[in-house]
Formats: sequence, structure tokens, C-alpha cells
Amino acid sequence: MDDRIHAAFAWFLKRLPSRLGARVRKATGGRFGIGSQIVVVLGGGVTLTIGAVVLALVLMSVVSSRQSEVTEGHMPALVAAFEVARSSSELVRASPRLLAADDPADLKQVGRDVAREEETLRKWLVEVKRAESRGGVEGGVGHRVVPLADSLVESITRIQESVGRRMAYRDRLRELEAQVESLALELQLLLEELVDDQHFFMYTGLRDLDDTPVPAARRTSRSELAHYAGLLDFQASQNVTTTFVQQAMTEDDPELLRANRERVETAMSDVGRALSGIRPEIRARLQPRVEVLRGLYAAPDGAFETRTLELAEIRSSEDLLARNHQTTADLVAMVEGLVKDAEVSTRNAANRSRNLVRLGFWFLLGVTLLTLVAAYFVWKLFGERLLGRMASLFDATRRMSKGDLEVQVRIEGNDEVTDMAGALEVFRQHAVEVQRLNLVEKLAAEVQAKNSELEATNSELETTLEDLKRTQQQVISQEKLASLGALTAGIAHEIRNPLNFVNNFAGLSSELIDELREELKREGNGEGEGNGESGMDQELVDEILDDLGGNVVKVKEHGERANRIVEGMLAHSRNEAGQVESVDINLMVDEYAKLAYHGLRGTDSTFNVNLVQEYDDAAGRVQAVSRDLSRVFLNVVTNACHATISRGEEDGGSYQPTVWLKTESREDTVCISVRDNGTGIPDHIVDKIFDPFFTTKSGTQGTGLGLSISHEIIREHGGEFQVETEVGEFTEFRIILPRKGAEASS
Amino acid sequence: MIRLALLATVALGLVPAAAAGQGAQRGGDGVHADSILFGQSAALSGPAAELGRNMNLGIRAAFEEANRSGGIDGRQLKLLVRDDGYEPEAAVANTRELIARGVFGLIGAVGTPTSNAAEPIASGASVPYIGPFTGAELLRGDDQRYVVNVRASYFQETEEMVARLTDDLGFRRIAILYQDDSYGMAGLTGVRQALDRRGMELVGEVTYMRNTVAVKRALLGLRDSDPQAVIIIGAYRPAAHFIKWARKIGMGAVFVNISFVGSNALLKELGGHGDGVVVTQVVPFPRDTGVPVVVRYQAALKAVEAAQPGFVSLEGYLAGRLVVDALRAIAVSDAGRPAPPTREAFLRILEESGPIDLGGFQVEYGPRDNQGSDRVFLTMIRRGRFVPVTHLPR
Repeated sequence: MDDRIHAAFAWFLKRLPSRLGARVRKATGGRFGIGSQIVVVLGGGVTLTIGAVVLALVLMSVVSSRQSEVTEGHMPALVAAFEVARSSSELVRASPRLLAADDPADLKQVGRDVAREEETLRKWLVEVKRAESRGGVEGGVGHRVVPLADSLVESITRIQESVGRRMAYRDRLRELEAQVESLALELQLLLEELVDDQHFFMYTGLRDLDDTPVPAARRTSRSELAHYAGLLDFQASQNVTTTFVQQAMTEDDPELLRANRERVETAMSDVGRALSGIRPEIRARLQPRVEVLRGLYAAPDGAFETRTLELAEIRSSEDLLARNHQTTADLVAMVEGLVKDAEVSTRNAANRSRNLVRLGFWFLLGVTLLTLVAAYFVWKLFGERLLGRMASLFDATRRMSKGDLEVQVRIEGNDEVTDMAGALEVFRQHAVEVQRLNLVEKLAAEVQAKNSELEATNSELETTLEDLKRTQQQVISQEKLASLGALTAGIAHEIRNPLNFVNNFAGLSSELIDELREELKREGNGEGEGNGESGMDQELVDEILDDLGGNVVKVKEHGERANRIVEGMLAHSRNEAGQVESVDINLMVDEYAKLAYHGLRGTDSTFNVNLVQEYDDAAGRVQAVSRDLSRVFLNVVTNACHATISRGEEDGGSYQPTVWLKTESREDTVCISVRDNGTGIPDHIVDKIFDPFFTTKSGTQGTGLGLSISHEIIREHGGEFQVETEVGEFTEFRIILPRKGAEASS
Repeated sequence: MIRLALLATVALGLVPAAAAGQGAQRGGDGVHADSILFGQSAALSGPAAELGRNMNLGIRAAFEEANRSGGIDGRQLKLLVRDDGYEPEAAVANTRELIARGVFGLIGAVGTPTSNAAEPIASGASVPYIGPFTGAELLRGDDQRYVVNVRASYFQETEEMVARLTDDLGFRRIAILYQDDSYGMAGLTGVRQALDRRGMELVGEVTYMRNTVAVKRALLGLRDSDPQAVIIIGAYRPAAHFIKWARKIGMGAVFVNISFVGSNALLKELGGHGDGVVVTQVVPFPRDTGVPVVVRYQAALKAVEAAQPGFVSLEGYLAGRLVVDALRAIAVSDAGRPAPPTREAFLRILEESGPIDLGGFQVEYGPRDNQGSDRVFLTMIRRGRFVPVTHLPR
């Protein structure tokens, strides 16, 4: 595979023009190395990306131009069409409003509304035409809407005029109605009085207050009867006429209005006939009023004509309204078409741009897929193989770094990795050389280390030797002590018997002296009465006896001391084993510390010390011979108290004698420390304090065996006895006991 | 979407716009910085013209008297007058117009049918309807708070008539002539009730048409029943006409008129034929200088017009005086804080004042009582003049 690629590259180089070929060869070293591969791959990728970007830009610009076509051309057209529709409907609504108008002010208001809407409509129509010219709306619908709108506006104007006229007629009719009514009332009242007069005359023959009654024949003469009948007829026909006249003013049907005219004329002729029967002077009063009534009805501006005109006007308005409806329907249909066209255009434009966007999407998707496929093949052809080779190279390197210099470095291909493999192989061979040299150096260093080790062992051995020597010393010393103990036991036993004699006889002597003294005294007194100058010198005898008594006491004291020493020696050397039992350390320390304290207070009432007790509750129990161990605590605490007494004697008042008692539980041991702030132990005697018979106490106070015996007891318990001290400051004894106790107590 | 909106607008276009009609505009309450405006709708033309003119004269006399003495707290009283010709339709139109012009109150209306038609308009607008020249019961309901009647009712007048005719003269046959409208009916009812109380019935009952003098057929109708007395519930012209013609044809009855007839006009109309005609009155005798308010009235009248004192103008004067006194009482009661009078305060002060003495003529109102005076005075024509009487002479 590789070879083929390289062959292809070589072939390609050969095909290049000589100058370019030379430059490429120079740049690549004449082979298809990693650099060349990266250049080729990246170059391909960059080319694809640039291609896709250019394509996207082109598509975007096309879509954007389509979009602007929609927003600038189609949308305004749509808006304009909608506004035209709105204004048209507003105009359509105007005509019924006109017809419903009540008064001129109302009419004027509707007229103003119409004018405003018309203006709006025209404005938007201009917009529609502009949109059409731009192609926002197809077909010249806008142009066709204009004449319809013109027609609508014109018919509205005509309706407005017609309604105006109708109102004028209505006003005139109202006026006529009032006049007719008032005239009718006037005639009615007049007739009432005329009829009343005539009626009364025909009954009484009296017309005026001053008259004398006319004869009955004249009262009911033909002419009087005709007059009376005329008045009654007039009253009736006039009522009928007035009713018809009033009816005319509200008649809705033009045909019936014509019929009404005929009726009014008939009634009027009845009125005329009635008038002819009435006496001339009365007729003269009635006639003009009748003429007025006739005029109110039949004159050119009378009720009939006015109502006829009004009806005609109503009909004309209705016709106009009907035509208006047709125009309106056309206009609405047209405008609807306009809106629909605008909508369709807008939708088409939007569709076109959507298609473009879709096309662009698929194209970009294709380019992306192509890029992915190319990337995959590049990876398979170059990347994976390259990585494999590099991995094997890395593996070789790592094995080498772990010291495996026997690894074989594979050298294949013809690129930078090949070079690196070659270099690594050279390095490996060098490393093999270096390794050999290192081995020699390492052996030399190992020999030296062994020497050092031997030296260290030597010094250790020396130390051990030293320890052995010391132990030996100790063994010897103990052996010495043991033999001394045996010896002492023997001696002590032997000495005890004579000592007993000495002590007993010293006591006996003392008694004897007392007896003697008594006897002498009695004798002296009895004789004294008889003969004052008898016997020996009394004073001298007493003196001798006192001396003897003192001597005997001294003998007894020293005898007892000797006895104690013997007891101590015996105790020291006693071999009998005590009973091992479980002992509560805190309890025991506390008990014996108090015993020591009270013991001392018993002999010296001025003695006082501050006992500070810090017991560790975890101290618990240890396996120990309680008889022996208690002795140790008593001893140590007593010593501590003595130390504070000595310090007190030296320092005086400000001194606070204090003894600290402390127990502490350790892992498998218990540590009991007794510390005092007494005189401390000078350096030169610290080493000797555990020796038997060593004491700093004067006279008969110490036996010098306390610490020695204590040391022995603790040792028997497998514990340690430590001391720490500083002269004039403190002394601290630490007793460390194992909990289990010693295996054996020898 | 767009199609829908278009169709919706087109559909709307076919619905006629609702006609915009606003009710009659309301005026103010008549109280201005320097004046208080009143309105009067009365007959200044037609057969009842004398009544209207005299009511107007009396009111003006009272107002101008008050204006000469500083008006109401500095405000001059003004009166807007409209002629209704004693026709209810015109009265309604006038009342509406006057209220629209913002009058404080309506005063001095003349007639029962006119007042009956106009009063609901005034009450509906909460405008006081003061001193109408009618005694109709229809204006004396206890819920008609805005009506301020000065005079006694027709029923009280008819009761007095019947009482005098039966008690003083012992008459049993009493007939009636009444105008064919609500005024006449009111009188008729009053007379009937008065007779009922006495176990009597009318012997004759005739009518005439309002605004005419066509009474002669009525006269013929009564001639046969030969009444001892005819009670006339009508206007002065037809009444005078009737009396003259009755006497002409020899009817010897006593003619008793109700106050509304308009006494001075009646006297004038009767000419020399008036002696013995009785008129009941609801105000004191206008020439009786023993009554303090009459003295003031005469002076006030003289200051306005060189007219003879009369019952109607005195009634007008009393109505005017009541208004003046009530408004002044408000001004006094509000002395601490000078405030323009209100219609409500005007009505309240009348309701709460108790008896109000206008000078020998007392009125009293209450929360459910809108009639001021209950007094009926009797007058008679003797030797061409009215004289006050207490009883009818045999």
C-alpha cells in the first residue's frame, strides 16, 4: 500500500513541470512524508470548507433577497389590501347609518365619517397600485377596485343628499301638522259655540241677551234649519277632512297617498256643500279657515306634495341603497380577491425562499458528508498506519527504557517515522555498549557497600560486648548480694539471741534501778526521823542511780536498733514467696500514701505536706504480691515526705512542701510516680541509693535498706524503678510495673 | 385569518349604527350670583287669560317688593313667563323649557288640566311646583313633595258651598255646570261628596267645552229641573255667559262659583247682571285693609301696575310672598355661613317651619302635607261689587 502511494507520489513528481517539480522535491525531500501528507489532507479539508462557506453565502444572499422581496413588496401589498378591505367595509356601513340618521347634525357626522374613510381608502388604493407596480400583487385588481370605490362613494353622497332633502320635507310636514291641528281646534271651538247658539235659538228664539224671543215659526224656518244642518254637516265634514289631512302626512304608500288625496277632496267638497247652507255672515267667518286648510293640504308646499316628495325621496334612497349593496358586494368580492392575491403572492414568495433554504440545506449536508467520508479514508490510509508504526516505535522505546535492549526496531516505509526508527536502532546499539560498562561499575560499588556493612556489624558487636560485660557485672553484684543475704541471715540469727539477752536484761536493770530508788527513798525517810545522821550520802546515791538508769536506757535503745537491723537483714534475705494476687494500683497507692503521711504525723505533729493525687482511672489492676508492693509505696512516700521536711528545715516559712502522686496506664504497664519538691539527691550519691545499707539519715532514723529492698521487690515483679532528681528542686521516683506481673517471683 | 377579519367587517357594515339620541339637557338650579330665577307657565291668552295675567301680576308684585328691599341676600328674584293658553300640551312644553333654562322653581301655574300635566315633569326634575292656581286633589297627594300649594282645595271650597246653600238657605235642589275636563270633574266630585254627606243628590248635571262659551245647550238641560242653586265649576267667560242667559230665560237660582272662576273677570264679564252671584275664595278679601298682608299687597301692587286689587293677583302675591319669606328664612338660618339657597333647603324649611304667618294669612306644611291654607272665604256680588260675607242671606 505504502509503496504504491510512494510510487504514485514519485510518478506525480515526475509529471510536474521541471521547475515546480524541483521546488516540490526540495520541500518534500522527494518523498511523500508526514509533512506532505498533512499538507495534502489539510489542503483538501480547507478547500472543502471554503467551498461550503462560499456556497452558504451565496444561498443566504439569495434567500435574503427573496425575503426582502416578501417584506418590502408582498407584505405592504397585503397590509394595503387589508386596509382597503377595512375602509371599504366602513364605507359600506355608511349608507345604512345615513338612512338611520335622525337629525341634520347626525347626518353631518356620518358625512364627515364617510369623507374620512374615503380618504383612507384612496390612500391605501394608491399603496395597492404601488405594490402592484412592484409586483407585490398580481393582476391589476387595484385598478379595478378604484371605479367601484368611486361608484360607492358617489352613491353614498347621493344617499346623503337624499336623506338631507328627506329631513327638510319631514320638517315641513311637522310644521304643517301643527298648523292643521291648531286650525282644527279653532274650527272645533268655533263650531261648538255656533252650534250652541243655533241650538239655543231654535229652542228659545233668543240670539242675543237684549233680544226678545222670535216666534216659534221663525225659529224653525227652512233657512234656520238649513243653517243648523249646515253647521252640523260642516262640523262633521271638517273633522273628516282634518283626519284625512293628518293621515296624508303619515301615509307610507304612494298609491294610498293618491287615494287619500281623492278622499280629502271629497271631504272638502262636503265641507263646501255644508258651508252653502250656513248663513252668509257665519260662512264668511268659516270660509277663510277652510281655504287655509285646503292650502295646507293641496298647495305646492302643502301636506300632499311634501309627503309625496318625501316618499319619493325615501324610495330613491332605498334604490340607491340597493344599488349600493350591489356595488358593495362587488367591492367586497374585489377586495377579497385583492387580499387573496396579495396573500398568494406573499405565500409564493415565501415558498420560493423556503425552497432555496431547503436546497442549501441538502447541499451543505452533502458537503459535510463528503468531508466526513474523505476524513475517514484519510484516517484509514494514512492516520491509522502512521499511528500503528509510531505505536510500535514507542513500544520499542519503552522496552528499551525498561532495559530490554534486545528489542528489534522495525524500519519500514520512507518518511519521518522511518528516520526515527533508524535513529532508535542506532541508539539501542549504543545503549547496549553503555550497559556493559555500567555493569562493571555497579559490581565495584556493591563490594564497597558490603565492606561498610561489615564495619557496622563490628561496632554493633562491640556494643553488645560492652552490654555483656555490664550484665556480667550486675550478675556478679547480685550474686554478691545473694551470698551476702545468706551470710547475713546466718549472722542475724546468731546475733539475735545475745541481743535478746542484752535487751531483756537492760529492761530488767532499769526496773531494778527504779526499785532500788524506791527502797532507798523509803529507808531514808524512816531513818530520817530517828537519826538524821545515818547511812550514806543520799544525794550521791541518787546521782549514781540516775546515771545507771540513763546507761540502761541507752543500752536498750541500741539493743533495739541492733534488733531492727537484724530484722531488716532477715527480711532482705528472706526467700519465702508471697502470694501473687490482683491488686488495684490506685487503691493501694492511695492507702499507703495516707499511711505514710499519718505515720509521720504521729511522730511529729508539726509535720505537714500537700499531697497532690492524680490517679489514672485506667490504671486498673496488676498481678502482684501486695505485701511486698505496699512496702515499696510506703517506703517511697515516706522518703519523699522526709525530703520535704529537710527542705522545710533549710528554707523555712515560704516553702510549700508538696508530694505528687500519679498513676498512669500505659500499653501493658502501669507507671506510678512519686515526686516531691524536697531537697533532691546530689549527683554523687544518686548511683548509690539502691545499694543496701546506704543512708543519708543520721543516727537511728534510717536502716539504709528501704530503697534497696524496694528495688529488689520491683525487680521481682518484672518492673523498673527509675529516679530523676535535681538538688534543691525535686526528686521523682517512677515505678513501672507490668500488668501480668513477673513469671516467677524468686 | 385575513379573510375572516374582512368578512367580519363586511358583516358589521350591514348593521345600521345605533341612533345616538340624548335626553333633554338639564339646566342649573336657578341660583346665580346676583339673581334667583323662577318660571311661570300660565294662560296669558284665551278665555282664562285674566287668571294667568293676574297670577303673574301678584307674583311680580311680591318679587319686586322683595327686590326693592335687597332681594334675597343680595340676589334679585326674576320670573320667566310662558303662555300655555290653558292647554295642557302647551303647559308641558313650557314646563320642559323652563326647567331646561334652569329655574329654581315653577310658580303660579293656572288651571287643573295644565297643572296635572306639568307637575309630574317638575317633580321628576326635583323642581318645586309652587302655588298653582288650582284646588284639584290631584296636586294634594301626600307623596307630592315638590308641590307647594298655597290655597285650600276644591273639595274644601265645594264643601263650603254646599254647607252654606243647605245650612244658610235650606236648599235641597242643587245643580251643577262644570267644564268638561279634569277641573270640572274635580269640582263635580267635591260637590257630590258634600251632597252625599247630607244625603242629597244633584238635580242637574251639565257640561260645556273648555275654551268656549257654548253653555246655552247646558242651560237648556237644567231649565226643566228648576234648581234652587247652580254650582258652576268653570271659567269666568262661560260662567258669566251662563248666568246672564239663565237670568235671561228666567231661572231664579243662586249661582255659586268656585274661586278658580276669577272673580274680578267674572264681575267684569257679568256687567250689570252680577248681583247675588256667590264666589268662594281661598284668599282674604283683597280690599280688606284689616288684614296686614292685604295692605302690603295693595302697596306692592300699586308699585308694579295701576291695577285694581283682585283675588287672583292676591293669590299670586301670597304665593310670591311665601317664596320670598322661605328663601329669606334660609338666608337667615344660614347666616353663619352665607351659602346660596338650594331647592332642597327651600322645601325643607317649608316642611319644618310649622305655621307661617304671611300677615293675617297663615300657611302650614308638613312632611306629607303640601297644602298651606285650609281657609275658604265667601264673597258675593252686591251692587256690582264683591263684598265679603260669612253667611248667605235668605
